[in-house]
Amino acid sequence: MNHFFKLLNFEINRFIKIYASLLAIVIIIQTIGVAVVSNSFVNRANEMMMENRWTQEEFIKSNGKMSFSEFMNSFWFAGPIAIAATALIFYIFLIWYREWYGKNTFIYRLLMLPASRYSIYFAKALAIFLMVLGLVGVQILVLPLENELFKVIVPNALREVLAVKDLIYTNAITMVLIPSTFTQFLLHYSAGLMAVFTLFTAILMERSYRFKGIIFGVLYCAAVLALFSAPLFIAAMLDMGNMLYPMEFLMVEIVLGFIASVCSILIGHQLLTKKVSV
Amino acid sequence: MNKYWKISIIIALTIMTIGAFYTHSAYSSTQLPQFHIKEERGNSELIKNVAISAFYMVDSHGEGVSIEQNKTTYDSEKSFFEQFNRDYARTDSTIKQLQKKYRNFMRGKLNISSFYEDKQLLAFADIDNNTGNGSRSFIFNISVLNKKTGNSTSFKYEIPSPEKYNHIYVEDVQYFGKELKVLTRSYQQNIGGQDVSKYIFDIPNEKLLSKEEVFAGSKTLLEYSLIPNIDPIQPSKYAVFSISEPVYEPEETEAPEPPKPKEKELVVYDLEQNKKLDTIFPKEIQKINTDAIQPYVDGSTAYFAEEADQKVKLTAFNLETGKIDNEITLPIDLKGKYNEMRVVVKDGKFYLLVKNHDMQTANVKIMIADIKTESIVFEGRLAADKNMRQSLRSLELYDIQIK
Repeated sequence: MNHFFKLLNFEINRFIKIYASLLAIVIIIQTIGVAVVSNSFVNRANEMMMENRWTQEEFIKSNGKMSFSEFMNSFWFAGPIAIAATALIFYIFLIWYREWYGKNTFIYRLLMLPASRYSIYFAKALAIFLMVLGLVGVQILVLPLENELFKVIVPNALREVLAVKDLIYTNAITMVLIPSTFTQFLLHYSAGLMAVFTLFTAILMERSYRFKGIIFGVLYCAAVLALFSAPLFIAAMLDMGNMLYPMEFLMVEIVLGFIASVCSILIGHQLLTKKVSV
Repeated sequence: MNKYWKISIIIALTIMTIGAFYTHSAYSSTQLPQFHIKEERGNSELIKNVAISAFYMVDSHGEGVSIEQNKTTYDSEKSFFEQFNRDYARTDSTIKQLQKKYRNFMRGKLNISSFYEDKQLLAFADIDNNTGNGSRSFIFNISVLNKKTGNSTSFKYEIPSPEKYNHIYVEDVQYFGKELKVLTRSYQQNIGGQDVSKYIFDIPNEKLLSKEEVFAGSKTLLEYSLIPNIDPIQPSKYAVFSISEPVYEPEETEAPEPPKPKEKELVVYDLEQNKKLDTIFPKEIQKINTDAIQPYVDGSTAYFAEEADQKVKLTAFNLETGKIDNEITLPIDLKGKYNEMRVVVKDGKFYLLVKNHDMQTANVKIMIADIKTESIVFEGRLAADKNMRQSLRSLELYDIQIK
């Protein structure tokens, strides 16, 4: 356990500079975005009121009030999240490959450690997972602050007041990242963790069998995907779309996801102990 | 410990923010208006079982909402399992109840018009429309569950010459003796008009006994619409059809005008005896605009409601005697120019929900009348905790449900 925690700490520290920059990008671009989107709305409102000699009420009647979700639907909000998400997905690969392609082949030292190979594997998985959650945490933290900034810029009469929760419920990105119920949160992120394990196994296959391993890896990913979507396909093929009740369907998916994850972990561990070549 | 500060921050941040998000009220509370039903007169006990389902829409934000006497529940406030199940059961409480009682029989069966239930059995008849991929077939799926023994029989029947039809769906299912009678509506290929047909199946022998055209819309080019049953699955001897000339909506209608009442004729069909009754509906019922407020059939009674001069008049017409049993007039008395209404008849009571609005006002009124005694037993209004007029205006009413 101690080994595992040290390794986890080590993995986090190795990426912390880039990770901190990602968080900074999210916070800075989004804050600028709120200011830009809100200001342009206020300016447009002022211009239109000047040109048409409208009162505020007349402007609202023809243009509507501004809502914070206008910012949330803009590139200013989605862009930095996409950048951070892409970087973390990329790091799923890099977290393994940097051991081989660093200044010195670090994998030597890593495999020489007295720690269980499971520790190495889970330290990397949990590092990625923790960084994803940290990103989500930062988003949860800054969203109300951004909402406050929006309130400062757009005058009361021109804006629509919505609670943070209501904003999150109407946006496609936040509905996935921070779903409205905790159950859903657990489901989304367990599925994410399963995907990380699957990719790890594919990467270790490549590391073990090199070129042939790429084929194995791709096939393995396809197999997991097929397993996970089997209930849908089987139902469609046998023409019995609604034969499973939603809860049963969910249970089947959870069991399949669990099986896939355990397989990935066991294969990954096996490769890491027996097959991986330095 | 000092060297662990970075990871400690990340873990603490994650647990605190995500934890706060799912537990703290600052995140979980909504600023959407909370509604309640304010009693004005009558017995407030009656409103306890009433739920209004609606859609709340303000500019970019919109979600479903269910309003009870003192409780407002937005879709996003429901637990994950409720949200997850909702799409499947399509909020139809009858189907939900059937699913609870007959879990296995109800698998994959969703269409409410396809069910029939009495004390002994639960029957289901639906048509699979397979019209994709070049092949074409319309297949009846029939299942009957004996509620006492728990045994069920099911069989299929393929409708001949599928090339004639565009699509076919089931409108009503009834059961008499050992015969299952299915009313279907079929849309013809290439020609306009819809045929209403009746298929009679012999359940013990699992075969089709006969097929008969009840109304040949493809020949007469008239529209035959079935007036729905209050409880679509209960035994019902009569089917009431409204026959009218089809109205083709003119294109490019800028301001939607209220549709003009159609010239129409009402016909009662006895499903048990397989014949049309010679019941004659009085003129005053024939001229009621059934597009404005949905009429209903309940056993041998048909209910028609009509709005005029800020009043709603309900007429209970006896299909067997051909006489009007009860009449009751509910005054709306609101200032707004437009009235949108939803009505339900349940257990001898008439529930009326009115949204009255124009540029100046918006009100939602709910009234309950006892049909037998022809008296108003409850009257109330929808109230919101903030921005009353704006909140009510943003509410699009779907229907009223009585538990």
